[in-house]
Amino acid sequence: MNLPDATPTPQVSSRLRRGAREFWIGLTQPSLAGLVGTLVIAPLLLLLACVTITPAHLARIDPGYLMAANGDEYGLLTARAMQLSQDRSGDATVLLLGTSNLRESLWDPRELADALSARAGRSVRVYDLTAGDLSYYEMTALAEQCPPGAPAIAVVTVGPMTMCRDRDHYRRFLRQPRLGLDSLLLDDEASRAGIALPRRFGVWFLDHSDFVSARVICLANFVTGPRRPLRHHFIGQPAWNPAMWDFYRRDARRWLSQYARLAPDSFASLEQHLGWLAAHRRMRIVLNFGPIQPLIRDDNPETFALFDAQLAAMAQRIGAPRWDLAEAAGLTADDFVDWFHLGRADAMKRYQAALADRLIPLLANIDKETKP
Amino acid sequence: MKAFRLLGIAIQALVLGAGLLLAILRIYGTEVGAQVFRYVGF
Repeated sequence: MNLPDATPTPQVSSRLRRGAREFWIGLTQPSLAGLVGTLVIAPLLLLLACVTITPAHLARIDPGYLMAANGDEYGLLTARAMQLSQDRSGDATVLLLGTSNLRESLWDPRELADALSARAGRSVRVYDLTAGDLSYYEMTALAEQCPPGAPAIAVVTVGPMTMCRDRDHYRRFLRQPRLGLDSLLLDDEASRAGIALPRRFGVWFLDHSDFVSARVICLANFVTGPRRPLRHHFIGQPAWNPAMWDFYRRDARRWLSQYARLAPDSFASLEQHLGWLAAHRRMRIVLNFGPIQPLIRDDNPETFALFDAQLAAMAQRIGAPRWDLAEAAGLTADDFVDWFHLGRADAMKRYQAALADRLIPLLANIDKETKP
Repeated sequence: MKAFRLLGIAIQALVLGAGLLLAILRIYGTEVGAQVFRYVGF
């Protein structure tokens, strides 16, 4: 059998070599055409990014695509908040807002949503909006993303530590926000801190360029797949160890020593934000005291009594229920790995069940309460 | 042969254009960079 000869003729081979050489020259050598092309393409790419990278589009993809690493909680929160802002399902919605304290107290928010849907007899969506060191004004900025009039309950989980962070600690996060969100409440907090608001273009990609620039690496996620958020950071770590007691006691005392000085300002600001959310988003607000190692609570009775009184007074003024689920969940000192993180799966499941028990009665009336 | 050279120039412009955009974003993302941009009117 005669097969055609696949070997290129010397003429073809020479043309290919010349073509490759020309391509290489065009690719690597500076030229006026290359310079003009660069200066044209950069703004075109910017325009393309402004048109395509918008909250409405980002809300449709897996939140893991917006995470620079598996531990990038603020990328994840931004993506979840975008999904919340685009949610027009009309389903009852529960927003779980808190720091790592609440994050580590929940076993699985999807299981919680399933349990609530089954018990309430309607579809209930749960948005896990928790992140390490989340400030109270970032919590309210996240809740602000909820569409007005949606039947939503915001479980705002705070503790003495949330309310006694020095304003300077958070000042840098107001100047360079960790969340890529348009928020009147974040702007309000920045104004209170004396920070001039940056120029806004009304284009998400430009207005949040610092958030975007920190996540250029996310382009790789479209090749490797979405990141998977870390959960249960403390499971498997040694349980509460009495030998560490001195360390945790000193740490807690150092942290809480500023409480009486800093908390009143934080409470005043939080109360204003929650009042705004109740008025403009018509959501039901719950003030939840996150779980705390009981030994630390007993060691700082005055601080915790003051916090309880301030939280109760604010709850009364804004007409919000105040929850402390530690007793209902049967939490003990051994359930904690440090002074505010649960480390045992069974404790997390008990806490989540206690949370569900409290949410069910609120869900029964949520449509009536949130109607304009 | 001109087509090969133009293809090379186009890819060069695309890579440099994307790089330029990312560099500007990166600089704008820093506190000092943002201040400089604001100072010149952006």
